Amino acid sequence: MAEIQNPAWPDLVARDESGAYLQGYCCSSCGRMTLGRREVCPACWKTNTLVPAKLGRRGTLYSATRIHQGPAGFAGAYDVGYVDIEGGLRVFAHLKGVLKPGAEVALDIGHVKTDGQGKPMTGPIYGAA
Amino acid sequence: MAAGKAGIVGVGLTAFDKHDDRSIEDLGREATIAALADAGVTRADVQAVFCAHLYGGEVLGQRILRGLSFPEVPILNLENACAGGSSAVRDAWQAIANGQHDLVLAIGAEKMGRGLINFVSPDVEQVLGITPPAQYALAAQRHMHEFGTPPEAFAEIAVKSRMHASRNPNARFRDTVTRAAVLESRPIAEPLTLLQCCRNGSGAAAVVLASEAWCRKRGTDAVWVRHSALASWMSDFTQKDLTDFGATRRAASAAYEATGIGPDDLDVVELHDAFTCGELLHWEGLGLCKKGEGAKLALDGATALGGRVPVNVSGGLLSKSHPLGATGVAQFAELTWQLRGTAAGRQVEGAKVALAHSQGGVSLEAGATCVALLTRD
Repeated sequence: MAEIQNPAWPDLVARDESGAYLQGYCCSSCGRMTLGRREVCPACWKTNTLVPAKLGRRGTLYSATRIHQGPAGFAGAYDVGYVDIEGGLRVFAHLKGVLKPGAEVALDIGHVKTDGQGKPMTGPIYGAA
Repeated sequence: MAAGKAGIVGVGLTAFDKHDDRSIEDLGREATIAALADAGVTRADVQAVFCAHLYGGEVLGQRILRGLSFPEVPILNLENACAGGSSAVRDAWQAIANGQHDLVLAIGAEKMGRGLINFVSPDVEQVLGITPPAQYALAAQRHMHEFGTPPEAFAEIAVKSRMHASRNPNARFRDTVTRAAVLESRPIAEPLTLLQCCRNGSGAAAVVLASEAWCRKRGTDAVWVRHSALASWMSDFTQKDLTDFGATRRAASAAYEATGIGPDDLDVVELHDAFTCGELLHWEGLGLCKKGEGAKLALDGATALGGRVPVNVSGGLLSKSHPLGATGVAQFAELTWQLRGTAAGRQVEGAKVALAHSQGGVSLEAGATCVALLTRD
């Protein structure tokens, strides 16, 4: 599994031989899927039932915008949006070459911002599938 | 279960501006002094205080009021993002309607710097670069996709805001603007341009509320808070209808149901127009028009002074700027003046029923919306 350099957010995205994916979890008790580490399943509240799941390789773009004024670490304009993926989940990510709601998109990992030392940080970037 | 009503007997407002050399405590004191004077009461009459802010630090209410030698009454400080001010008024209404107190003060105050808000607890969306304008822009883009709403509809809301502000001596940005100038101003997060986004500001507002019994005993006129509904939105990477922005529809429905007042009964509305597209989506959430038909309302003048349901005749957040904790309380000041018939230059003739709406949150994952209904009688 290729190491994700300087991630903007820990344990969010990763890569395997099939490509990039979001590091999610599936509850082995109730089947609910989630993104991000947590102690309890948000649906059934059981602990120790969340099993890692590779999610979001592909999705449908729900909405998008081009941000011209971003916070520190974001220079110039950048495209962002919400992507609907499996498990009834919706994820916020950067976009490349696609802005139209309804478009089918595929996940990649790339530079999304710059850290305090001027080094690029990586995160999820969806492009046209 | 419907609570009773509470009467607004005094309101006070500072200018919303940079106020670089004034402290948040000084701003809070100015608003408090004005509200108590307007109510004709002294500090000895106030039985409890609710104080809303986001970034004012520990026990802000106490820090404000110790400088006015206030009696050591119960003071609760609350944070509910940009809905905090409305939540403070709601708490005051509840305390009175539930019979706990006869006279309560609600304060909202904020001191802000320049530039984008630095969230205290940034989540993954913020770290990845979402901004408040972008949150609203994403809702707008979906609305444009589903309903064909043109960017001109959003821009027209800024034109309306400045037109109203030009008539409001309390507003900060009072120069009128054309639709073209709005559309051509600097892009922020498409379709939002600079003139479609509210500006940071510092300021404070305060409202004195009293029970029916207190008003009767003193022979005091009041504007009545009939109900205040608070709804939360909490999203855990879930797929929600973004064109139903925040929790406006739920909070409004609860308020309408509790009072029997409907959207067609409204004479004047102050709502959370942090961004033009927000106002349009909130019209739909409040039931001022059908879902998806906001563009029609934007372009036919229905929500301008003189229209069917004037919205943000104060100029709103877009033209007043937005001190986060103060904004919600300031809406109650404006609507009190409207229902008293003393809103100079921008009076909605014969206004008897008003709605106050404000909303705030962290990305689109967590937030609060508060809707209150006020009547003249």
